[in-house]
Order: sequence, then C-alpha cells, then structure tokens
Amino acid sequence: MTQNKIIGIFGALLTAIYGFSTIKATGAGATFLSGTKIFPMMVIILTAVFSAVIFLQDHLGKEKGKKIDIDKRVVITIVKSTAIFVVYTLIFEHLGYILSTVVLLMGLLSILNKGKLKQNIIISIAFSVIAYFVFSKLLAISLPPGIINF
Amino acid sequence: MLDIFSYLMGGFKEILTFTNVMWIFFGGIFGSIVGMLPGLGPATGIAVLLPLTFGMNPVTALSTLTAIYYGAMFGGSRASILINTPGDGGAIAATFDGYPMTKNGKAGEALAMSAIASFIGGVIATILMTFLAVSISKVAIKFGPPQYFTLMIFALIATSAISRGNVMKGLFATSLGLMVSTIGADRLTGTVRYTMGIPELYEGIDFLILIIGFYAIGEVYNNYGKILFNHDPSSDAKDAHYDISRVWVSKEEFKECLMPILRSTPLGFFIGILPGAGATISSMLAYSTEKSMSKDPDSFGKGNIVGLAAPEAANNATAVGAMIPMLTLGIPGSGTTAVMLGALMMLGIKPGPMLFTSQPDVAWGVLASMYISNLILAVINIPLASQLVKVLKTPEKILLPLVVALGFIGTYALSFATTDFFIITLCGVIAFFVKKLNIPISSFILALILGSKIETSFRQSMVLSKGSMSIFASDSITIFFIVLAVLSLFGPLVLNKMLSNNK
Repeated sequence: MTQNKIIGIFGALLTAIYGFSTIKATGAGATFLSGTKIFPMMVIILTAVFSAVIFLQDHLGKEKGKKIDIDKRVVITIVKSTAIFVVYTLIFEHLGYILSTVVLLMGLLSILNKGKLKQNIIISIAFSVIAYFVFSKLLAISLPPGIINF
Repeated sequence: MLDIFSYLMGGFKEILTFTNVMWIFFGGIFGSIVGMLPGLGPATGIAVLLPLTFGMNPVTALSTLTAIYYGAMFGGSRASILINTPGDGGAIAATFDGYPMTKNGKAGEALAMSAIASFIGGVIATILMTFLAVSISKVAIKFGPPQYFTLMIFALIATSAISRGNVMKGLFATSLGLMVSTIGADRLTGTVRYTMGIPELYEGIDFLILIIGFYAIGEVYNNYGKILFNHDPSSDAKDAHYDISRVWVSKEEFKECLMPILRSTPLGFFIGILPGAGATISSMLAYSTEKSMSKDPDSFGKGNIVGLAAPEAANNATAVGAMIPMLTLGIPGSGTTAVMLGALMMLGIKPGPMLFTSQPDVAWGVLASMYISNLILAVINIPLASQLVKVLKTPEKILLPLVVALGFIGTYALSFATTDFFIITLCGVIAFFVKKLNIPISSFILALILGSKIETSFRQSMVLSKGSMSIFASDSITIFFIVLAVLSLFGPLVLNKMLSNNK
C-alpha cells in the first residue's frame, strides 16, 4: 500500500471516531459558534478534506505515490527496545533509578553495541551513577532511590 | 533608544552572575554535543536536556535553554565539516564547502570560520532583535482574539506549506495536532472532552511529554536503520582523518568572508522571524546567493571558505530571529521554538507582548544572555574545538541509549509518574511510522501547542462579533495575516507553475 493510501485511510478512521465522539458529547457555550463543539467540528472537516485529498493524490497525480519502506529488522529492533522500555517502566520505582537505568542501558547497548559486554557494563553503571548524582543531588530532582539508598 | 540601552544593561546585570554564566557555558557545551549527533537537532537537544532547568529560576532556565539551542546550531556544523554528516537540516549547507575544506587539509580553518561566522551572525542578529522585539511587543499589545487567531492560522499554514515533502501532509499533521489539543477540559466552559473517562487526561495531554517521545525516542528509533543495518563507513568519525591542531583563520580569509557574513546575517534573521522558514532555507539561500555573486562560482563545492561562512552566519541569525515571535507574541514559528515555548510555560513564564512589561527582568535577561551565549559558544568552538569534536569519535550506538535515558529522566521529572513512560514509548513508535509516511512532526507539535489558544481566540472572537465571521476581515492586521496565510499556501504553487510555463 502507498504512503498516501495509508494516511488517507488512517485519517478517515480518525475523523469517524473523533466525529462520533463530538456528536455524542454534550455541548456548552452561549451560541453554537462560541460553544465547545464548533472548533472540533472545524477540525473534523479539515482532517476529512486533507485525508481525502492525500488518498486521491495517487489517482490524480501523474506518478503513483511512494510505497512505505520499512526494514523488518528495524521493526524487530524497535519491538525489542520497546519491551526493554516497558520493563524499565515496571521496575523503575521498585529497584530505584540507578539499578533500573543500568538494566535499561545494558538492554539497549546489548542490542546496539553487540559483543562489547565490558564496555557496555562500564557505560551503563557510569552513566546511571553520574546522572543520579547530577539530577538528584545537584539539581534536586527527586529520583527513586530504590534498594540502593545513598 | 536610551530606554532600550538601560533595559539591556539591566538584563546584563541580571544575567552576569556566576551561576547564570556557568549554566550558559554548560548549556552551550551540552547543546553543541547533541547538535553534533546526526539526526538530533536543537529541538531534540532541548527536549532531552530540559530536566537540567528544573529547579532553576526563570532567567537561568531560559538562558540555559537558549544556550542549548545556539549550542546545537553551532555543533550541527561540526559534524558537517569533519565527517560530511550534518547534525540537522540547518547544517546541510555547511557540508558543501566545509567537508571539501577538511579533505583539502583545512579542517582547522573550516571549524574556526564556522564559529566566527556563527558568532558574528548571532551577535548582529541579537542586536537587531534587541531593537525589534520591543517594537513588535508594542504592536502586539493591541492584538485581540481575532488578530491572534489569524496570526496563529498564518503560523500553522506557513509551517505546513514550507515543510519538506508534501504540503498536504503538513496540513494533515496540523489537523491531527489540533485534534489532540482538544483533549481535556475546555478552557472556556470547563466541559471535559475526548478523555475516554481517563482522569489523567482531564488536564489535557502534557505536550512536553509528547515532545520528548516524538523527538528523543522517535529520533533514536529512526536512527536504528542507519546505525545497525545501513552503516556508511565513510561517515565514521573514528576512521576520519583531519588536522585540527590549529583552529584559526588568516587575515585574508577573514576579509574575504566578512562581507558575505554581513550580507547573510540579515537574510537569516528575517527568514527566522517568518513561521516555518527555518535554518535549512536560510542557509541554503545564503549559500546560493553568495555563489551567484561570486567571481569564481566554480570553486563553490570544492572548499571555498565563503561557501561555508555565509550559510553559517545565516544559520545562527535564523536561530535568533526565530526567538522573536516566540518571545514577543507567544507564537512559536518552528519545532525548536515550540519545544522552548512548552518549556517556558512549564516554568511559569508566559511569553507574549506583556513579557517585556510584566517580566522585564526575564525578557531583558534573556536578551542579554543571547549576547553572552554567542560569546561563550565562540570560545567553546574555537579554543576547545579539538576537545569537543572528540564526541564525534564516540559511536552513535553508544550515544543513542544515553539520549533515551535522558529522555526518561526528563519525563519522570515532569510528572513523577512512570505511566508517562508508556506515553513516550508509544510516541516514539508513532514518530517512527510518521517519519516513514513522510508526515512532518514539527507541524503536528506546533498545532498541538497552539491548538487551545487558537480555539479560545476563535470562540472569543465569535462572542465579540455576536457570531459574525466578518470580524476576521474587519481590521487591517487580521486582513494582513489572512493575505500572508493565503500567499504562503498558494504562493509556492503559483511560482512553480509560472516557472514550469517559462520552461
């Protein structure tokens, strides 16, 4: 599917969902033109028009629209990274900033900087400890100390 | 005139403290480092380094952010010159003659000229801004809801129209941004909209969190392909050879570049004021102008120092010019200034025409800090150039995880809620696909930030006019902005048509 078609379909879906919510919502305001619904309605019309024009560009233009070019290997790497971020989110307040950030960085570095375990360990620990002291102690930003309590 | 001078002196008094100068120095260094990383421009730099400013007073915070912004502009061209890899769009023109200079064994001269041109461009543009900002504020103080509405519409349309790629996609991104901006309680009536029953959304979506997600996590994801699977060894700084033992230029080289710098600065400055037209356009325009004016145009692209100086001056002047609409009108004209505006609002600063009267210490302190930032950045980028460029030897596969970690700290410091980590992760994934679909993120972010202001000013206008749309055509200022919006949308189309007809 071309980029334009994907955007067109996505735009149409979004317009439908947003439009339905707008119609269903209770309006407020002195008049329709100064009420809560007027602006969302204008946005709905704009999104619908732009989505339709983008969708039709493949047919109206002399050249066919570009296909979406996504490398599967990149998507797999993103999925792996996203899983690491989810784990980070879940352990952040329990293990504390330093330990959880070491886990985050070790995870990411093991994907991006493969085969350099020693370097990755040093970077992960050094960054986490330095960042904790800079933000928590120098800038007084409260970061969870967790099980390592300085 | 005397007033401006005394206010500026007051600003210098405010800014010249040890703490402020230290933060401007560190902000400049951090900005330069982030700016050097390919793909990570000033907007990302500000987004990930935002937590540094938490807990600071407004003047220190805004000065630090400004230093990060300028630092990223300075730093962006280091990578262009040394490894032919621009840090961001504004630094592309620096590759044309900067990299050939490096190949010709003149890397030191190229780095020095880039810093000197950026410094001169930045300082002259700040002088222009000092005089213009107050005048614009005085005009803007008379703006009511209809004027603000048409101005913001012009800003959005101009940003979409100039966005790279398809104009329609820019407008589509704008409408999505407006859509997301309506989530939460309505500012005028308090009616809760589009929250799907989630209480955390009642206050609306915190756009700083979205910005970190889109710019920090998104850019990291977008760099995966390049660093893991399509790595170009020629862009590897580790293997690049350049001599930067002497970072300076000769008197002759300086003389040769002075006029092009002085010509390119006002060009860059005024382009910076226009919404949407950023450093990429100004630096390219400065480059092509100097090439067309040169007695030896064939030497451009082969290491002509003028071809480096002109875009560098324009580039920095644009960064200064872009601060004018943001500070005086509260309307950002680019992705970077949109991020800055978000940061300012978080710090309790309300940019706009009243800033110069209600918070003169902040407004003039920031103006003074721009002079100091430019000076400090010239110092960082000339004597310390050889130390700074060592960052380029650190592989991106090590630096990008650190950017992610900074993004998470920033998010946590904003809300102290780990649920926002899910939001930035999701935004990162969305940003990856959005880039693949060639949709400009800056249009989305700008609309998201301006959305509620646009809605409020539209509805206030409707109340004022008792529901008559003619209020938007009843005043010379609103007509002026409408004409500008129409011109920015259809002007390029008409121009292209005329050019193709002439062929």
